[in-house]
Amino acid sequence: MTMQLIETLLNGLLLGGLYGLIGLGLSINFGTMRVVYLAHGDLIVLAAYFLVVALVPLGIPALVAAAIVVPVLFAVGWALQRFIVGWSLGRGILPPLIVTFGISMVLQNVLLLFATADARTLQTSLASSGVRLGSITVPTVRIIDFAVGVGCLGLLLAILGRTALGRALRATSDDADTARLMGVDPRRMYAVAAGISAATGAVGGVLLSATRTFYPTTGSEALLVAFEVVVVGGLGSLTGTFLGGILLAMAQLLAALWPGPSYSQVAAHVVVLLVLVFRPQGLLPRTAP
Amino acid sequence: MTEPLLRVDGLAAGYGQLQAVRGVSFEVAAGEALAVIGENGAGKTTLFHSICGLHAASSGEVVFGGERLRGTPAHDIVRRGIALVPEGRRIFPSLSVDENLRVSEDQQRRRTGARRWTRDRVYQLFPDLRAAAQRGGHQISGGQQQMLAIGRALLSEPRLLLLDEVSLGLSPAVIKVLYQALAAIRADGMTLVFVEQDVRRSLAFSDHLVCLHKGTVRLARPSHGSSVDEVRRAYFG
Amino acid sequence: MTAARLARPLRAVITAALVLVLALCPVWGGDGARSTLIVFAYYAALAQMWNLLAGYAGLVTFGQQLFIGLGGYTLAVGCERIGLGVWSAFALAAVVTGALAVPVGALTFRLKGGYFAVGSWVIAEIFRLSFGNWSYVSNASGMFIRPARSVDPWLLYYVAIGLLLGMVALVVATLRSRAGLGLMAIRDAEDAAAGLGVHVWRVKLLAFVIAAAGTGLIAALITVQTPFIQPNAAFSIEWSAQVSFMAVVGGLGTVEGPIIGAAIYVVLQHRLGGSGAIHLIVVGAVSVIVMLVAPRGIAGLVRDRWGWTLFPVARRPPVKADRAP
Repeated sequence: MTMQLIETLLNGLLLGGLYGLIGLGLSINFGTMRVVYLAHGDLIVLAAYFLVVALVPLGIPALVAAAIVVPVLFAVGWALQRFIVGWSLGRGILPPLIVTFGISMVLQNVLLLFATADARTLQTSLASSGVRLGSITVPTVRIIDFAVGVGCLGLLLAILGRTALGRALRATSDDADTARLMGVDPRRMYAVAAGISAATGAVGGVLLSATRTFYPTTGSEALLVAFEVVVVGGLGSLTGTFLGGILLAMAQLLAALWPGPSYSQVAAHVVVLLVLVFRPQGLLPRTAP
Repeated sequence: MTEPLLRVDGLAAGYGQLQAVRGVSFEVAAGEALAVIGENGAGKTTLFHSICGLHAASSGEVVFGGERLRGTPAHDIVRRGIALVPEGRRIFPSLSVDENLRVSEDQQRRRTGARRWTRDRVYQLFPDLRAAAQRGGHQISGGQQQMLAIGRALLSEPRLLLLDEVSLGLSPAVIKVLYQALAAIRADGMTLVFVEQDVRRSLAFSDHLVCLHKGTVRLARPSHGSSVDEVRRAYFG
Repeated sequence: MTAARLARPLRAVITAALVLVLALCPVWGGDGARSTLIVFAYYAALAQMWNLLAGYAGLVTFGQQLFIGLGGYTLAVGCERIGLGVWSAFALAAVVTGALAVPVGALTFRLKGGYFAVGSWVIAEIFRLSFGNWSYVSNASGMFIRPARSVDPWLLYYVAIGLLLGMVALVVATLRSRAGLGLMAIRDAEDAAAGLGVHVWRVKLLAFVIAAAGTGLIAALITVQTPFIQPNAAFSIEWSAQVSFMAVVGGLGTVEGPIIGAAIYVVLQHRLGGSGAIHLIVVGAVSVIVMLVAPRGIAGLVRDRWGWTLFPVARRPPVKADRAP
């Protein structure tokens, strides 16, 4: 029984890498622009579709295709922000919500139209292979999820912490008007942030395609996961978001153990409720990186 | 007569029905120091924000180095050579002191030609900051924040430096240090427009003064030869 | 600046004429017109409730489907399991949703802005998943409401119209009350409102409860009309998508806006065939375009251009006309 528990927790930790990754993009956008990007989940799924339905059938090896998807999604995220969402800023909370929600609807249904409602997944040998750790077997995919997740988090923290772009982004997020006084153009920063967010999401999308099946509607699911991860982790902290992902994944997998598999989805939602009631500021406070 | 570096002409700006600046005009020659005096609510901050592009003016004109500025976005105005040290310092709290400086310095990377201001030079001007370089922006004292705000502004290589409320809330010792630094900056050839609540100090440090009251210019004259009383009378309308 | 207003008697005449046309539907219309108008009526009523929250209280929510599902299921359970009459179940639906709005509001109000919007969605999801796993309500396969089949369709029609008028009256009454002034003050500047002594939390909760109860009641109607209920449809995010479209396109922060928006939506539905992908793409795209180009919607445009308004209660709409530079 304890072995099962440890196996579940370990799997949760690793799957949490994917969840955390999915949440990072939302966190970046909210941190910079104070906008909850309701289209974030659909961008993740768009990446997955682009990979599985467009690139892979052309015969491009999965890894190369993944390397193509990420910059393409950066461009998509950048363009959406620059030409559409950016124009909804500065007028209160409603316009960006309606606009990103509208984009989400359009994306989901365009995918439905062109890629149909069939279940999709990335066929790889990874799906069935596992790694033995003592008496526990862990799916290889999960290990990759975690490694890539941690890697992305590290990369983002490095960009934010050590580069000129990162400093400009953080300054804009602190105080956009004063950033302007330094010569920073907030609109450019928002577009770059949205691009980075989409690119991070694309990595998540690639992993998602390898981890499970997906549909056009998976975008909404991904958005809710991202949202919950950010709320649990603490608004404004990337590391917190990542930890939130781990916590939620663990909660889900534990709930599948007990009370049962049909409760695993609700479990994550309930954890968020509990966080809201008992620790509304989330795991890590704002001042953490 | 040579063209002034900055010319503000009939500038009006405000918030809907509430016009904080109502037809302000003045000129600043290159290398000069102009003191802007006025009580709270006289329109000083709105005036500065309108010159810098943070606030859209409703009418009037701002001409800097011969170029019209109205309508230019704030980050472009910085590139053209105006830097503002804002009221309340507005230090970036999640960046360190050094990073605060770097944000400004980074934006000047693509500038060709000699750089007059580097981080090193700022630290020489304000040794206190060097000691605090790695501390968080929100963790330093008010005086250090003001030094940092000035340093940040200098790093954008301005030709004109605007300072909104230089000494507000600071101790006399710190104010002294600040003005010494400002004197050095001025000796370097910088043009200054500054807001200072202490009328005596404003007169001592400036070449000209402008007194604002309820959004209009009530007094504009050379500082040399103006008395504190004359100014105080204009100040209170 | 004086806006040319439609004179009071003219407004009364126009409203009365519209109501008369609706009331005489059995005379000029057949079953098709009736069904369409019922759908229009409940959409318009739902949009009114959403508008009360988003357009007046500044509470943008993507979780109203919680109360749609709850109201619908209360009716279903009331009729099928408890043995209530259809109309008693109606009343119960409003009571249950109104009551549940209190803890839900208390919890979600801890979230601000966009997080409140998605947080309410999460709670709706919890209910969707839970109801799907609850044998008492037949899990995900849903329930059929047998007593609903014996309700006269024209009676249902008048109930629907009555509900719409009732919701409009409720919104107007709320906005003209003291609480209503408080609401709009909160929407415009929450901190300032608090400083003026407005009990921000209480006023918001009141609006939330009213909107929930209203939504629950409308949901009961929808369920009787169908007369089938199923968790994935009842608690679906699509409700929020539709309702937000109607309120935004019609005109947020106005009373006639949601009605206009619902009319447009119903026409769109007819043209583009139900809720297919193309329909939703158009809905999404139009929402985006309207929000960017004409943020005050159609009613807002009319008001700005000619100063006309049917229900002069709205003050400044919730979207600022000039953007921060």
